[in-house]
Parts: sequence; C-alpha cells; structure tokens
Amino acid sequence: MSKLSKYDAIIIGGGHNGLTAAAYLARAGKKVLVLERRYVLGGAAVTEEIFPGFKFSVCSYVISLLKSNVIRELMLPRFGLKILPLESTFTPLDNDYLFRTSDGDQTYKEIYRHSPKDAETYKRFGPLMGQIGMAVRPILETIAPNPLNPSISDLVALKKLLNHVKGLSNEHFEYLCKLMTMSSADFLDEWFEFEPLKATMAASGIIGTFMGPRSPGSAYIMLHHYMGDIDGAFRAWGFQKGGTGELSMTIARSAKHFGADIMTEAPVKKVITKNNKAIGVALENGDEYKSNIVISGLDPKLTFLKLVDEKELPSDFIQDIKNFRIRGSSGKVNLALDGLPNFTSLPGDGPHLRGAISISPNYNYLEKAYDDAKYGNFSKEPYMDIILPSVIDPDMAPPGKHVMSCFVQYAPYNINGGWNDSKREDFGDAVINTLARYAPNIKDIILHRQVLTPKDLETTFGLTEGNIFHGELTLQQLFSLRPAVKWADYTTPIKNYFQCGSGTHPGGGITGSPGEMAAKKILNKW
Amino acid sequence: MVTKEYDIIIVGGGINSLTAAALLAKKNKSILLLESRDKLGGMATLEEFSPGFKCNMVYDYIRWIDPRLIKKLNLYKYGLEFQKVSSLRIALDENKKHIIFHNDLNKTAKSITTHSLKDGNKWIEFTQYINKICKFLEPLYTITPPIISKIGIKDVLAMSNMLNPIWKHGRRGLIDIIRTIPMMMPELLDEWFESKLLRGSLAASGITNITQGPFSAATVLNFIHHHVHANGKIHNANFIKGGTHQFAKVLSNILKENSVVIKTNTTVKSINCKDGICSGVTTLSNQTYNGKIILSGLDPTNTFFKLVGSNKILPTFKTQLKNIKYRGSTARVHFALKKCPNIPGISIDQQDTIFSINPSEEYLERAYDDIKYGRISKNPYIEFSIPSLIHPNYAPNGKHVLSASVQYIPYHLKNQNWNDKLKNEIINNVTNIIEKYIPNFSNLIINSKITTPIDLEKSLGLTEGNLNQGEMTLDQFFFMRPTISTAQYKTPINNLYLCGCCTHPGGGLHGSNAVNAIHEINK
Repeated sequence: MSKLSKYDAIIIGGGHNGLTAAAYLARAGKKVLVLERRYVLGGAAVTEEIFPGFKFSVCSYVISLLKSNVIRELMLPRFGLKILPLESTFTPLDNDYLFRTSDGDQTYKEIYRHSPKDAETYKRFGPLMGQIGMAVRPILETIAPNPLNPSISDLVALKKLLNHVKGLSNEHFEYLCKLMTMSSADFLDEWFEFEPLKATMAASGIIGTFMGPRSPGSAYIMLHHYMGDIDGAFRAWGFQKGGTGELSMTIARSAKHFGADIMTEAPVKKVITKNNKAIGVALENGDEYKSNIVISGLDPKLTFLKLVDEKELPSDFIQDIKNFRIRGSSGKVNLALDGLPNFTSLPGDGPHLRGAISISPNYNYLEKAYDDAKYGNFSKEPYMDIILPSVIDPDMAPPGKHVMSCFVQYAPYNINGGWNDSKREDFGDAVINTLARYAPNIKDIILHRQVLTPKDLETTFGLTEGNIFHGELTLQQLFSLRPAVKWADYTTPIKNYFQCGSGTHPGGGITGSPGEMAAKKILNKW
Repeated sequence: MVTKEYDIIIVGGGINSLTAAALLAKKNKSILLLESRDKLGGMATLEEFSPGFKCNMVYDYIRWIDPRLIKKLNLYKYGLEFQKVSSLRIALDENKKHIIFHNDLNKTAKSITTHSLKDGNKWIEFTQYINKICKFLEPLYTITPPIISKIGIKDVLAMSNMLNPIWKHGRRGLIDIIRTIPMMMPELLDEWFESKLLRGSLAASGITNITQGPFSAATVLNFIHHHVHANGKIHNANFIKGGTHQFAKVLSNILKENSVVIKTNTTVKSINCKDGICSGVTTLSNQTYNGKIILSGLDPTNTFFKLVGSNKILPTFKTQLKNIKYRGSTARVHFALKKCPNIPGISIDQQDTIFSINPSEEYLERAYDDIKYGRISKNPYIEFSIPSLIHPNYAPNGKHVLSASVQYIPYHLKNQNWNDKLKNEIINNVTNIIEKYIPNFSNLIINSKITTPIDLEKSLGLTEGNLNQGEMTLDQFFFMRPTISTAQYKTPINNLYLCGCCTHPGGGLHGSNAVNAIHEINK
C-alpha cells in the first residue's frame, strides 16, 4: 500500500462499530481504510485462543442488541453471521435454583414453584417491557439533535419524536418515565416478590455500570438490555458461532467485500489536522495516511484528549469531555475447564448450562458487592454473568473440555492502592471461591484461567478506565448529551473528524448502531 | 345529624391546607377546614417535649416561602417576620476547622479557604452556577405540570417563558440544567471541589429527608430543591420569629379574619364519593359536611386508601398509588439542656445557627448503606440547632434546647422491632456523636425525646413518616408527582383535589403546592 494513496475515509479502531461504519461507507462506494492497533480485529468484540485449543470471547460475550437492518444491509449472514440461541437464565441458590427459559409455560411453572403471584405477573411483564423497548427504538434510531442550534432536520426529528411520545398509551408513557429515572430494584419491586427473580432481572440494570440495583438510573440500563433484537425477536440473547470475534470478522468481511482496506497492528498516534480540519492520520511508526475524513471508533476520552491536540478544540467542549463519566466497574474471568461445572442445586449436565448463569441470589447480595466497589475494593462476593460457550459451540474448546466466560462485577478501575499482579490474582480467587459456593467442583476442573481487571481492559482493548460502554449510560450522558452537547450527532468541533464508537448515541453493547448511524449521517452530507 | 353545606372543604390543617384556605377565603367562598390534631400547622407546630422545654416538632427553620404567597396574602402585614441569625450554617469539623456558611458569599469563601484555597476561589462561581439552575426551577415550580399526552402549544409557550432567565446565560445554561439535575452529588462535586468537609456538607443537602445516599442519581435535584429562591445562598435557611409554628399562626389569622370555619380535634373518617364524584366528608363523630369542592392536604395514600376507600378507585390508579415511594428516614431528637452548650471554635454569638455533622460524602453514603439493609445508621448524618438561643421562650431561664434531625432512621426496620430500648440506643448514639463536637454534652442533658418516622406517621399522619409526602426523587418529580394521573392537583374523582406537598413542586414549608392547586381550582 502506497503511503501516498489518499482515502475518502479513515476509520481509527477496528471494533465492531468502526467496522460497521467502514462497511457502510464502502458500500456507498467510498474508499475506506480501517486502522486497528492490535493484531486482531473486533476491539472488545474479539475471539482469541488464549490457551492452546481454547477459544474465548475475551471481552464482550453475548449478542443481544445487534440491529436487524445492519444484519440485512451489510448482508452479514452471507459473511458468516450465525447466532446460536442463548435463551435461558439459571440462577443457582444455596439449596434451590431459578431457571427461566424462552418457553413461556415452562418458565411459568418454574416461577410458580417459587411464587404463584410472580408467575402471573411475569406473563404480563415481559410483553410490556418488549413494548416499551419498541417504543424507545425510534428514539434510539434518531440522530441526536443539537438542542443549542437545532437545524431544520433536527427540528423535524424532534417533532417526529414528540409525536411518537404523544402517541404512546398513558400506561407505556408512565412506565417509560419510570424506567428512565428509577432504580431497577424499585421498579421491579412494583411487580415481583421473589428475590432471586428480582435480583436476576435487576442485575441487567447494573451491567457495565458503577451502580447498584438500588441506584436510581439502573432501570434504564435494564431497559437498554431489553431492547435486544435478533432477527426481530425481542429479548433474545445469542452467541455468535466462533465467539463474538467472529461477529466482528463477519462485519470485516462485509466491509472488505464492499472494498474497504483493513490494516491490523497499525496503531494511530495522531489525527493530522490543518486549519482545524482533519486531513489524515499519523501512525505510531511514522507512516501517514491522507484522507478526506477521519472517523474515530474509540471512546470520547481517547478520541478528543489523546488523538488530537487540546488546542484544536473549544475549551467548553474539552471541559465536557473531561467531565464525561467513564468509570469502569467490571472485570472478566475466562476459564479453560477439564469438564463441566456441577451445580449443587441442579447437578449434572442439562439445559441450564446452555444459557446464562447468573450469580444474583438477592438484592442485598448485589448491593453488598456494590458497596465494596464504592469504597475502592473489588467485590469479595461478586455478581457474575456466566456462559459456557463450548456447550453451545463445541469448536470453542478441545473435545471433552470447556471454556467458561465470567463477567464479573464489581471491580473498580480506581481500586485502593492501584491494580497489580497480586491483586489481580486475589480478584480471580474471589471469583473462583464465589463460584465454588454453587459449583464446588470448579476448583478441580480449572486448567487455565485468565483474569482481566478494568486496568487490563484499558491496556489491552483501549477502553478508558475499563468501561465497557465507552462511558456510563446515565441520564445526563444519553442522547443529545452523549458524549457532549452540540456534538452528539457524530460530528466533532474539528471539521471532517467524526466519531462512531459506543461513546456516542445510542451507547454501548454489540448493536452496530453508532457505527451505522454515524456512517449514514456522514453519507447524508457527502 | 344535619348535614351542612360549604363551597369548599379542606381536609388537614398543615401549611398547604392553611394556604389554600387563605387564598380561597379571599374569593368569598364558604370554607370549612378540618384538622384532626388539637392545633393547626401540621409539620409546623411547636410541642412541649419536656416540662418547660419546647421545640418545633419537625422543622426548626424554613428553606424558602413561595414569594407569590407572601405577596398575595400580604403575609408580612399579618405578622410574618424572619429572625436574623449570625450565619446560615456551620459544618462542624472534629479538628475545630469548621466551615461557616455566611450570609456574605465572600466570607463563606474565606472560611472554605481554611480547608482548600482552590475551593474557596471557586465558591462564588459555584453559587452562581447553582443559582442559574434554581432560576430555572423557580418558574417551573409555579406551573401546573402538563399532561404529556395532551401537551399543546399553550403548555409549550408556558414552559418557554421559564427559559427566559436561562437565555441570559446563553443556550449553554439550559444544557447545564439538563445535565446537572439527574446527577448524583459526587458527580457535581467532582466538577468543583476537593475539600472533604465542604463536599460532605453540600452532599448532605442533597440527601436531606430522602432515603437515598449521595451516590444515588438525581440527589442533585434534591439539593437544588432546597436552594430555590435562595439567590445563590447555599444552605439557605430562614428562621421565623417565634418559631416555625408562627407561620401557621399567621395563616390562621388570615382565615379567622375571613370567617373560615376551622374545626380542630375533628378527624375526617371518610371522603364521600359516589360514581366517581365527591360530595363531602364525614367525621369520626359521624357528622357529614357537604362541599362543592373537597381539597385534601394529606398524602395520596391517606386521601385515597383511608378516606376515599380503595373500593372506590380504579385498579390502574390503585397500582399507581401503591407504588408511591415514601420510606421516611428522618428522625428528630430533642434535648433539654441544663445550660447552653459550648462548641469549641465557635463563639457564643455565632451559635444561633444550624450545625451539621457531615465529615465527607463517604460518611453519608456509609450511613445510607445501613438503611439499605434495613438498619439504623451507625454513624448518621446529624443536623442540629439550639433554638432556645433564637427563641428564648423555648426553655426556662438559663436552660436550653438542642434540636437535631438524624438520618437515616428507617421506617422499615429489618430483623428488629421498634421499642423504647432501641429508641434510647439511638438517642445515646446521637449524644455520643454530638459529644465529639461539644465536649461534655452528655452531662448537660436533663431530658430527651426522639420522634422516629413511625412516630411521625402516628402523630402527623405522614405515611411511613416521610416529610415530603413522597420522596423527592426524579421519578416522583413534576408530572410524575404524586402519580402521573394526579399531577395536575385534580384527581380521578371529580371535585376532589390535592394540595399537600405530595404534589408538584414537592416538600418543604413553602406553600407552593397550595398556590398551584388553587390556581387549578379557580380555572
């Protein structure tokens, strides 16, 4: 590749959003280059063979929010998209368990066993959340308008949204307002009584966030997770065959198919600007690439405080970006296993190992885990969301062996005394000990373990403070304020410099949405 | 018994009920006001908690009074008077490096400088920033929340007027508001200050009278709520001459002058409704009064479940009512003292103010952690004053009263029951904590009394002892307060209105709720 060749667009970061943006631009006939720092594509959606024969979705591990039009428009199934359903949640308790599946009758019976009242309520609750999720989607699919100087199209979009909101039934509107402002615990208390059920549902309101289930604002994150939409089926969770990295590869293949160039091991040092206009990028190795526009898929802190000079940006904007909250709160433990974990409450192999396993016995358990983190420690008994990818997709591990992915909360980025090797191992031990309480054989079957602290997530994946959403999903960091007012429409104060990561509207998760919407916004003007 | 007819019947004799009555009385309506206790004022009453020692039951001071109310009713003419005190508040420091919040911002800044020069230098700018947000809320507090599904040009215009004070600060001002209100206190504080004590003191305002810790989202809303009409004076406080109950006295003088019929010691047994229309009330002594309009100053749970009857309300509304969050967590502890306590580092003439014990926001959050699990805070947030220095008649000559508000004391205790032993434990704990700042405090105590959330419920009819008749959180604010279906002061039952602090704009002895409710009724 000649260093002189000029691109229409350069995308910094080969995460799934960067790749999605690249694919859309290439599809529109633009000459696109994607630059990825690591040897492998996918960013936080990556599959790596950490131990010989054992493949891990190292960071992000489930797919629930990928937009169906992205799948269609980028022809992802043709390039390898294959989502295996992950349709159950198993909550082990000390002497019992709660096991919910996508089979309504079975789940009804199971919940009935614990609380007849909840079983009835559950039948109403799911559809309601689905409907509210649907009601929110037009908001998520609107490019966030600029409230300071709204353009004509912003006003049109706002009017459309206002009409949409006015069209909601009173009931939906009320619940929407509540979900935007309440804690997930308070919200669920209005519906259910059985603690393990409530805690497991509330747990989706704390994922990736520095909040407890009783913290106001967590209900919105719970809703965010209800907006999952795989092939149009609401609330379906899935596992990409080959791991989430395979999903990124699928998008990369689509981008390549449309003509995009993709380079790995090409860390970008700076965005080159001239007269406050982006004209290309400079790599760490000194290479420079010219382009008409530059798009950053990195988080807002890196995009604005590292890749460009502060003096290129207005001071109030810099202040906004500095104030943008991006506290990491979670870690990841990946285990290579010699066999399957044996849960005391539901021994042996079975369908409960084919879905998510949630260590969330009650609210207080989650709150105590949060308390530890609030005061600068990792949770001694953490919340965990676990899957066993090799059970669903045998190619992930050698025959008879397994891989286990544990998403762990809380592990604060700013831990007292700072993260070091021994603290990392202590954190790993806390996870294993907690697991052993429910599946005592776990200690005997571990062949290898990989422990990722928020600090590791930052170093390895470039996630500032290890925040998996590129910035917390709190009310003041959503929509027109994500990542900063006036610049929530994927543009930036620097001309021809754009952003497309999870730090933009509509936020984190494997959605492809920021990438898609950024690309569409750019193409609209082009 | 003969039923009597009135234009308007008001249930409850708290500040909002009295305000409503006074405003309506000016319109030549026949009005009946019913109060179950032997005196008017509700949360603004004085009690003799120990022989010869008196204290305001709930509020020792008032944050703000709705200026419309002062003007419309000419309250100053009727005797409302504020007492000048030496400062707004003193945040106590164990090492006697107290922060004094003066009336004069520059003096406050100087006091803060003893902890952090940087913070002191930022103080004036911070007060301006907060004031800007308050200036937005002030007009918002005067309007009836819109019904979102029916929002029309008129509502939008009414709201756009609210933005006028904001445009002064440029469009950026609006964004500051939208961005700031949903924050948790530390998020706001991180953008400004470093001093632990200063941060603790500000965070305390964000958690006052709610069951949330400073790390909970939208505690900034509660903070801002306390600073409306404060003109940038952080920790704004107004002592009413004679005591908070004088506010009720002033209002009841207006009622008497306008021949409003007031019946104390009269408990309403039911609000009479048939086919969704409200016709009057019946008292415990089976006296029925008919009224064209019934106005309830009680919280929605009392109004609908106790008085209207749950069989008269629709299931959806019932669910909404059930879901209102109350969970009171403020207790009051009154101490009768042998003599005036001496607070090291503070001269006696500076002691006529409010003191707070809030060493850091983490201290407050840990206090909150306890209540999260249904426990009494081991190290609670304490705010106290010595009212007898301000109102000498509160204690016998030479003796004094110390009045403390303590958070968090749960209404919902887990694995424990309320009994006298527990109450004494709380008093002892509070005594010990205060003693860290007032040496020898325990030896001054002649007598003490605690009012827990349970007691507040029993004596004042506040559901779960919540002083705001429903928590002041974002999900119970504006068009969601007290429920989305009753945010316009009107209720689903015809002719029945709400005017208590359960409605927009929420708690405090300011009367705004009633002023807004009357505006709706007059429509």
